[in-house]
Amino acid sequence: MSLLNKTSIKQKQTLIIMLTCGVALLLACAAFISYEVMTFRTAMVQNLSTLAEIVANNSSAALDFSDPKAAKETLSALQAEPNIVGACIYTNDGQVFAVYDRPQDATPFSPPARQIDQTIFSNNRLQIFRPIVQAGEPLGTVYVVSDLNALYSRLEKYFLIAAGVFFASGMVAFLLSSRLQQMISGPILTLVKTARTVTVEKNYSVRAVKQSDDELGVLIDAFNEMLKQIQERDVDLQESQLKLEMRVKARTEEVVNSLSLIQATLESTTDGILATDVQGRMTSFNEKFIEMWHIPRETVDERDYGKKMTSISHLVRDPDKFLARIKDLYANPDQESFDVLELRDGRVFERYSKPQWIEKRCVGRVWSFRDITERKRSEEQLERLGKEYSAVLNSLGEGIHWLDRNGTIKFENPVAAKMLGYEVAELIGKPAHFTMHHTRTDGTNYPVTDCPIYTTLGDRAVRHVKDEVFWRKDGTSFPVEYTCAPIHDEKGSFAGTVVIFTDVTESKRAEMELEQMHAQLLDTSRQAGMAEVATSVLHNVGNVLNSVNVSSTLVSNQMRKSKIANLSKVVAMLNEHAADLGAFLTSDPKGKQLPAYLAQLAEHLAGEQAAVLKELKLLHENIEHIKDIVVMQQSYAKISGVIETVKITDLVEDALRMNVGALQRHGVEVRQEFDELPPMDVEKHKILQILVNLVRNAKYACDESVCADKKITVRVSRKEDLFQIAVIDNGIGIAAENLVRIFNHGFTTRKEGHGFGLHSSSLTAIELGGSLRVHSDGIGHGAAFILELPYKPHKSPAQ
Amino acid sequence: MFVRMVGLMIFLLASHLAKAQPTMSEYQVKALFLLNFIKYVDWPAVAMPGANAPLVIGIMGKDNFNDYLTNAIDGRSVKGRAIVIKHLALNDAPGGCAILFISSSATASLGKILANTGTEPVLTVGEDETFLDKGGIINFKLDQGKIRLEINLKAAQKANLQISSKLLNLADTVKE
Repeated sequence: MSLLNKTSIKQKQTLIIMLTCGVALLLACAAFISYEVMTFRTAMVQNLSTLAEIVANNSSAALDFSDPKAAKETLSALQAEPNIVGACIYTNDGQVFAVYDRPQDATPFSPPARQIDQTIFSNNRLQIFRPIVQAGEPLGTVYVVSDLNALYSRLEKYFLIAAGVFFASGMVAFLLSSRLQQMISGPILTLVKTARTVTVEKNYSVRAVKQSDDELGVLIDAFNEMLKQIQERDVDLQESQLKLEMRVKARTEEVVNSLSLIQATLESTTDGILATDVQGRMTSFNEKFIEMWHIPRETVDERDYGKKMTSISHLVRDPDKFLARIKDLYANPDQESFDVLELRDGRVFERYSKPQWIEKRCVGRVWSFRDITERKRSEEQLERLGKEYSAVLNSLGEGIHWLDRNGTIKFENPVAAKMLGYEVAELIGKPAHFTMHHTRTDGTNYPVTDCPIYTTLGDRAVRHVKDEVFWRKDGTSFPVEYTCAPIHDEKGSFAGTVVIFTDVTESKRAEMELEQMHAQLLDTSRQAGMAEVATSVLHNVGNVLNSVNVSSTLVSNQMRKSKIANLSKVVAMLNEHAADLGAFLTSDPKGKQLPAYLAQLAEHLAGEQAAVLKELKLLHENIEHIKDIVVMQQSYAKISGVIETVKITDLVEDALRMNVGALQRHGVEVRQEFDELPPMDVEKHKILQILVNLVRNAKYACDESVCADKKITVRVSRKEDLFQIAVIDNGIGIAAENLVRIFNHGFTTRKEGHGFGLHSSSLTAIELGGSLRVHSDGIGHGAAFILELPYKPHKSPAQ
Repeated sequence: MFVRMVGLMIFLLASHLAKAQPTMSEYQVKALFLLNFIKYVDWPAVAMPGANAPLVIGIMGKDNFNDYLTNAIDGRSVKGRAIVIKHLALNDAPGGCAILFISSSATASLGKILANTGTEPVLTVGEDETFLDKGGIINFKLDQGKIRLEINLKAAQKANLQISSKLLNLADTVKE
């Protein structure tokens, strides 16, 4: 049957048709053959009967007249029928009268016992007994026996024919059926092909082609309709699947989000967290948990909670209690727990556990461990601090009052109570002003509206108050100094005023002494300041003297090298030729050159004179500068600076001029970039002193540099309410580490420097309300010193 | 056992009977033959007066049948007719007889007798070699102890008798 199941519908159909045809044909053939056999048998019986009767008829006379020979002759006529095996004639009394035996038979025919009138089919034989009657008188019996070869050969023929017909009709049926079954299988195969396309390609848009209007047509229509519905549903499904996918994606994202959130939360919390299921297996925990309990890395994956707890229980001071609590909680899964664990290493943990519920079903437990060692410690510390503070407050020399927003005493320390002659408890809740601040020092009433403490309650400003008195319980008063400041509670909202007061009876006296001491001290410091200033002045004078020295050296050198000696030689030569001066000048080769030489010498000497004069002027200026310094020193000594109205640019030019010799000598180019500024009221000498110092420093920096193009730029500019003088050189520069130290007293990088110039310049700049800054990109990159001073243009009275 | 014994007895009896037949005497056989002739010979209607009239067998000459013929008849009828035996004298007209047996004792007067029958529908039966030549119809001939028949078909036709071909087939000699 399974084989049949596998065969295609085409083959099945052919098979069914063939089978049907075959069976029908077989039945028909069987019927025909049976019919033929029956007919033939009847015919055979009839034939043989006829023969027997003929024999009977013909042999009656032989019997009547006892002529077996004649009977035998009659019987031998049966030879014409080859099927007849044998025959015999019996007399009336059963004696065999005559016998016929088919000659070709191997076994001789032996007559059976006589019967009267009988037809017997048996043993492939047809036997017939027929009576011999003559004129109504029975004479004997004839017996004829025939084999069934005729029947068999006929049957054989029938079977052959049947087989032939069967084969031929089978062929025809096969051809017809294979042609005709296409009417059925064709549409089915189309349907199958379509169905297969649908199955394989998942393409629901294909349609089977309808070929007929019969049931198959209806089936194909139904199939197509079904496909259409499926397609529609498919589209719907896809749509909803897409929606679902999007929802799932969104959900997944949410879940992932919340998971990562949970994970992050888990990891970010300072608590050690552990989740277990009802079987006591660890489902989740964070790093902190591992860390807190010092769980070795290699056993992290051991998820048996019980084992884990047992293994960490030795960390706890009381392991039995620790484990018993766990056991107890797992016996009562819906309980929450909170306890504090003390560890052997001194740490203190809070252990909190809560059952985890999913839809009213307990699925586990979440444990959180919080290391409260620090908290404990700080609590203890706080407590200690509190005690200390109160001890401090209690032992403080000052009295302290805390007034609430209404001015009522909320707290006071014992010192305050003692100073005022009260018990602590007596003062709490009393209005402060009316209790101890009701009357002024001079005995007049002190209205609460004037009270600084109450004012502080209003405006929340800190006030230091001196020269007031507080009144004791006994009506006496004492001088106090107090500070009142607003106080805020832990939430930051205003909570009243704290008044810290001191009995200044003693300190008043001390103050007097202190004032005296202070005056003395000021004097001393003044002198110390003077010394510093003197050093500064001397330095400045020294600097200028340097210039003076240089100038004088220059002049003396100039004079020493002077061509004046040459003039003497010329004079000597002229004297030598005084007699024939004219001839000498016109004919002597030397004399001829003399006028030109003299002209040249005169020109040279004039140049020398000019240079000496210039140098001398510089010398004069320097000396003037020294004079100025001295004047300034005198004025500084008077502490009040001389305010003059000057043009800043003039001041700068002065400073440059003071150094011009040195600058020229060292081949330093000076560039001036001046913005136009109005005349200003400044302490001229102080600024000049700074500028001289800066220019000189710049020159030194250039000196030490190997740079060929030595250059100093002085820039004057205004910057909002300041003006700026920048002295910029391209000299040796300043190392970064020295930038911060450069203004320190005594710092210098020069061998003969004393480290005072920049220090005093800086101090002076600050004194003038400005600043001196430095900038350098490092060694070899030059430096810029920037002096900034307040911009104070002179206001002429006319304006 | 009993059945076997009965079977055996029947067998013995049957074989005895079978052996008994050839022992029949000559005239016993001839008597049967005479009677049997009736079945193979058709007489014209004139020879058979009534439907129920007996068929007469006439015997001429010496009757050697003794009682054989009478015994053979034994009251039975052939072709629906009773059979009567009639002894005739040599001179008697055979009219009224269907069969006329002429004994060998009458051989001398055979010619005369047969002439008397003339064209009468009488089946003449004899036992003499010359019987057929003399106009007899059927002659009994003794051949090796067996009785054979000789038939003169011409004489039969003359007597207006129809002799069955079956009988003719048995005859040794058929004279036409």
